[in-house]
Amino acid sequence: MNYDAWLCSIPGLYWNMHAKLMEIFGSAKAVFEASEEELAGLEKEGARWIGKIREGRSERFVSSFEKELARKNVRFISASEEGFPPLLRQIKDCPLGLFYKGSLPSANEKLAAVVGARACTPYGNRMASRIASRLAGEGYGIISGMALGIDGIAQRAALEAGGRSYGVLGCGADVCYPSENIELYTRLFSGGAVISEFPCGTGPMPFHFPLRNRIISGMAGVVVVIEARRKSGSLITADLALEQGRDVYALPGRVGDPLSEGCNVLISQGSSIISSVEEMISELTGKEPAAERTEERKAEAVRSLEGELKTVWDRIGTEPSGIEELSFHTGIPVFRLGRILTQLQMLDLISYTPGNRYMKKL
Amino acid sequence: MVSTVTTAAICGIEARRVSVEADISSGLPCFVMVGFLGSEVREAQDRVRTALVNSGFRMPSARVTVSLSPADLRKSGSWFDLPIAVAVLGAMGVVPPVMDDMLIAGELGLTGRVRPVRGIMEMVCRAADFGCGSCIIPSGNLEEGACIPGSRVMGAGSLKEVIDYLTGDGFLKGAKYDPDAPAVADEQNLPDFRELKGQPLLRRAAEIAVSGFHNMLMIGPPGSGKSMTARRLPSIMPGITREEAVEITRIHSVAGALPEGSGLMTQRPFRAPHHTATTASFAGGGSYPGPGEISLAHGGILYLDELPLFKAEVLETLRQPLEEGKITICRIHGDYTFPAHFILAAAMNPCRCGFFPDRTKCHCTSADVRKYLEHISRPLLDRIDLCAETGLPAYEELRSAGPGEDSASIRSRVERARKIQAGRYKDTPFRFNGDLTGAGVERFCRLGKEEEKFLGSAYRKFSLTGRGCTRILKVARTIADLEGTPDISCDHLAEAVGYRMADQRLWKMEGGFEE
Repeated sequence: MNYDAWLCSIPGLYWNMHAKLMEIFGSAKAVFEASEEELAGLEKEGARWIGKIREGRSERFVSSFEKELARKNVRFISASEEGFPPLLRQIKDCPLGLFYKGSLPSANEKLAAVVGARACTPYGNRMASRIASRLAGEGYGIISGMALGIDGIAQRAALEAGGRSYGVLGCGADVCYPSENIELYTRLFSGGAVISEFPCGTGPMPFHFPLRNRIISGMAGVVVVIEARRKSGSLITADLALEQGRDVYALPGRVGDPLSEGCNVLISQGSSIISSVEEMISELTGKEPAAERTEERKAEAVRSLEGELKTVWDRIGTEPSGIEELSFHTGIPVFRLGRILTQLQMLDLISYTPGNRYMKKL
Repeated sequence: MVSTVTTAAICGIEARRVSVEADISSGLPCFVMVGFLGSEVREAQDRVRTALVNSGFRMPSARVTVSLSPADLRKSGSWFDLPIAVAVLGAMGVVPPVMDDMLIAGELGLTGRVRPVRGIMEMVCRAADFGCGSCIIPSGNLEEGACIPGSRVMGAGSLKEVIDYLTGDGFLKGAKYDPDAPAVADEQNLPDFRELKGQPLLRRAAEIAVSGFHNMLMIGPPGSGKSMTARRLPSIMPGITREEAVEITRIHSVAGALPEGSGLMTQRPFRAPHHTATTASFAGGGSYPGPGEISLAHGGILYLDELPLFKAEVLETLRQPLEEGKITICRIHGDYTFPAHFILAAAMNPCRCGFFPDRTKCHCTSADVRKYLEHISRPLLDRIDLCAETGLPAYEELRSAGPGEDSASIRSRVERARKIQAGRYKDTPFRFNGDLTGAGVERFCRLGKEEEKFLGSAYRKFSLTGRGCTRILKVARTIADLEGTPDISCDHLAEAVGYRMADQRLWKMEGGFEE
């Protein structure tokens, strides 16, 4: 029997309890074999969760947990084993082991975490997918939390760019949370892995997520924060990353925009600023920044704009603006504006966002 | 002695001939009525008996039998009182026993007063087919009955007046068809587009929708002027013609939705059923169906506010009318078809709270937004040509916008576009661009080489469907008509594509609504 897997599979025990047991007994095997007096002694000292170990030592649990892992196709790797993410092993609150479905990153795979808000803006959406697909193109595996918004967008972009991606969950690796991302969840089995330190069947409790975030930043060498509110999970990840000594990149936003506040605070505290995607990539890889071919093509198209097309193009920013607003500021009646906006979209210069609003294509 | 009187029953929206026979024979005194009667018709005997007594006649102390035929036709409605009373009087020998050339309808009060009833217009319309040269109807329905060309109607105020008329002792007030009566009221107190500040997009969409009889969907946060726009649609619709007025009034008359004492309807209907409406009230129903909201909107506007809040099965009943301009309801006693050719003007918020995508106000998750949008099925969405997505106007836009263009100027443009369509669709089954079928689009929305290329690249760029292209072509046709140009240009297509944007994009977003 794999004693580490056994200890990690006991529901209701968390990494700090595992750490304490390791400190006292030295190994999971010793915990399994510990006498009832030793456990009772611990319980008397205040470890009220010892009861869970008793349950875990019951014959029913011992005989079934490995079968259950096999049935759900969930694998386990202990922190001491080869193949465990090496960077994660270095953090002070490293988990005893990880459950995963799929395959873990190889030893020399570079990893970057891309995290951000669930309710993101079109700007965050575009930037997340651009950054993730560029990083994937440079051979980075993209780690994130498989949440709605930025997390999922970045992970999908990485997979679509032919890269690998790892989703770290705040629930058991056999649970898809949020359920809307079921398609991403299943794609990760072949395109990377879903990873969790929690035993199978664990539900997504709110306090699991900060714990999960330390694994995201712990596995990655670089953490990229796309959009974050001042109080948010993404900022927790960034803080943990700084503690763990990771490179943190933050995407700047506008002052006063609640979704960029977190990133701007990070920048003021010394995180690297993403002034351009290519520059960030060149900093990370040490290569000369590549001239963006799409940018050139776009510049060409922009130069060819004339008359009202140009007026409208000049008015549209990187923040979405509504059709009525554009009409008000340019003085072009809406019916003509509608035609112009369609043409600009067909030139691939602007994109539609909900609310009939348009922004420059990033 | 058996007497016979002619009246009519209403089946669905159609009047059918009904003969009322009465017989007085010896036997125990009683009043028996037969002939597949609804409960309101069965109750007629008490009203008839009392009205007769209060008009100065004694019911004979013999067996009175009244039969309404054909016996397998269900009779419901309150207008059988008067014909039954007249038939009984005929059997008593008070009035002539056989009156085949006269259609009689009306409800009786206990004093013998004749009350107005529904469906008079339809009965008068069909009276000639039943072989009836004249009609006796309640005086409260006289205006309505006089709207039919060639009809001869007389209004009865009380049972006594009818008896006096039939025995030759008096006259009934008649009314004649007036071909010069104006179909449209001079003074139309409709809400005017002048009152709508700004919102140029909604205005434009409304103008196109009305010009080409297109269905439209308005998406926008609360306060963006969706309801204001919808309520102003009738004011830019071309005036109602006499034929249309008769058609619309007939439906309203059958449904009992006509105000008492009114003649032809002079305004196009504007129906705004609440989102709690049931399928039966919406499409027309009951085990013997009558017209529902969508038929009452025939020739006018059906405004559905908060579209996603309507029950799914209610919305799905819209499919046939949106496609064919009528609705067929199947019941165990037969199929009933009601006309339902209207402009659907639907409005909805982009999410439950209404403020998506304004993330400072809206905290709906993308799953919430998706769930809200998915209340509207793809097939329904596919039948809506125009989709105008709008936002809240900024303060400066609101303040600097002068009084908006008034309805009269918009209407003059609409009328011009309608005229072009009338010319083009002469001798075809179509009337408006919005009616065009696939084959009609092929024939009437031809594109030049360049336009074909443009639509092709739009098809790929915006991943349109075949159906989407058809809609775009129809709307582009209307835009061209509004401009008075015979050919559809790239500009027209580009604008039409803009009105597909929301349903092409909003409903197709994957993994978060943020792009």
